[in-house]
Amino acid sequence: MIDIREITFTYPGQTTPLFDAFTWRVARGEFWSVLGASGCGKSTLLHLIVGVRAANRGALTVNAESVPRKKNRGKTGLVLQDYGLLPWATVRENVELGLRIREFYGQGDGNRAAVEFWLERFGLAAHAKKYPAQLSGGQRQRAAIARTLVIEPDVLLMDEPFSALDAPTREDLEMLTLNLQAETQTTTVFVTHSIEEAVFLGRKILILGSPPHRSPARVVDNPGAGRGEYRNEPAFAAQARVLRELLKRE
Amino acid sequence: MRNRDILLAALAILVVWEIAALILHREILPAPTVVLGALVTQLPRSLGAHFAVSAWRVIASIALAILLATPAGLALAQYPRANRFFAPVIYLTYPIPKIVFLPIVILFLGIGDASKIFVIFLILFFQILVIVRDQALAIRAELIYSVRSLGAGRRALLRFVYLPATLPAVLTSIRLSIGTAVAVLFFAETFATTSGLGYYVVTDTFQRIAFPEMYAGIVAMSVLGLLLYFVVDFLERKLCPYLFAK
Repeated sequence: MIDIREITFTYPGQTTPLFDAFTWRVARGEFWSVLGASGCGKSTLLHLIVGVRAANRGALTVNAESVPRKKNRGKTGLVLQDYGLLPWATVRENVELGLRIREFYGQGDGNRAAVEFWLERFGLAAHAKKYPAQLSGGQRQRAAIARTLVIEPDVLLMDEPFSALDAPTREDLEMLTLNLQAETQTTTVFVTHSIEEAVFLGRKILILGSPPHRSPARVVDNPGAGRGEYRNEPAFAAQARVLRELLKRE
Repeated sequence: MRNRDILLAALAILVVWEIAALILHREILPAPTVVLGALVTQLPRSLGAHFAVSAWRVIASIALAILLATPAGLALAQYPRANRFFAPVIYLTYPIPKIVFLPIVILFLGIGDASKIFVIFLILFFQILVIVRDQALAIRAELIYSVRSLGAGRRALLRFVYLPATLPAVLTSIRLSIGTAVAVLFFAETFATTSGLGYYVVTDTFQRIAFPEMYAGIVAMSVLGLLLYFVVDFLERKLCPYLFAK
């Protein structure tokens, strides 16, 4: 689904590359966590996949289309930690933004029923006329996820979407993310710096240590993830310990 | 600030003026009631026409400045190379009081409306240009990324991000410039012309020593500035309701 082959990426003005002949594959329907410290290049990896940055060398395809995906505009969904919603647009206008962009380019009228469905599903229907600044952090992130789901993405990229939220809200939204992935089987890549969050969510975990990131990518299988109870099981704590050790060694 | 407060403030100013006129008791400071009388009698005669001419000149300048400065500011924000070239030029020309060019502008554009509109346009253009460029540059990269991920290209970004993001700044820059615009208009209209409120106040009434009419002209000029101010406030509430959401 996401096929990264030997990409090299260096930020303009820097000499050491962030990714150096880096290869990584994500299969259809998989749920991956990407774990690493701040500044290790996690966000850049997502930017490369979504196509807002271009690799210097190598090949990157999503669903066999080379990135950026011109033909199928808006099929890779991106949810960010914050600042993703338009502050001047209401919740409803934000959630239907992907559809309005399609209409703007004359690509048919969007499915407004999907807007209503996700507003309702995420408990945002009563807040549809509010502006982002009037919402709680959790509601804002629900709106950001709803906006992405409305365009029916085949890949969902999430960049530390819950790291600014308080613990109960974060756990609530993590559970929501798991349920959504189970329902829609959307290929999901979840970037986080929290070991617990990575273990709870991703069936597979990509570990990014200090750059440059080379092949083979350091991957940990995490078959226990995907259930709400996992967080309270001894296997969860054991897995978190393994990851902590791995990160230290990186 | 509610409408009632604004009305009360207007009333307070009129009362102070009335008292000052009573105490001073001189022809050069007529009471507001006298000026109001002159305003009512003069409006249907020449004052109304002068008001309309001045309003047209200032509104045309503002409209022209918005129409040209907004795309120019957005373009500078989009193309760093162009911005690198123009930034020092803008830096150098920005503080120059554009009004000093009035004689030159009159030489090129004549003594009609065009020269007055152009001088006010010059002042507003640079203010709006700079504020739109800076506002567009201040948009967070995350916002651009997330809207691009929804399928937006350059045109859609302009429509859905850049224009709405810079709109409040454009309105603010207009609000801040209204006083200057009307002042420049006043000066320009005292210069080789026979129409407009500046002409009415300085050349027509002042030189005839018709003080109540002169004051009526000054009030009309103030009302013009105030009306423009109110229009910008109204537009802001209509176009940027999120700024007022509690």
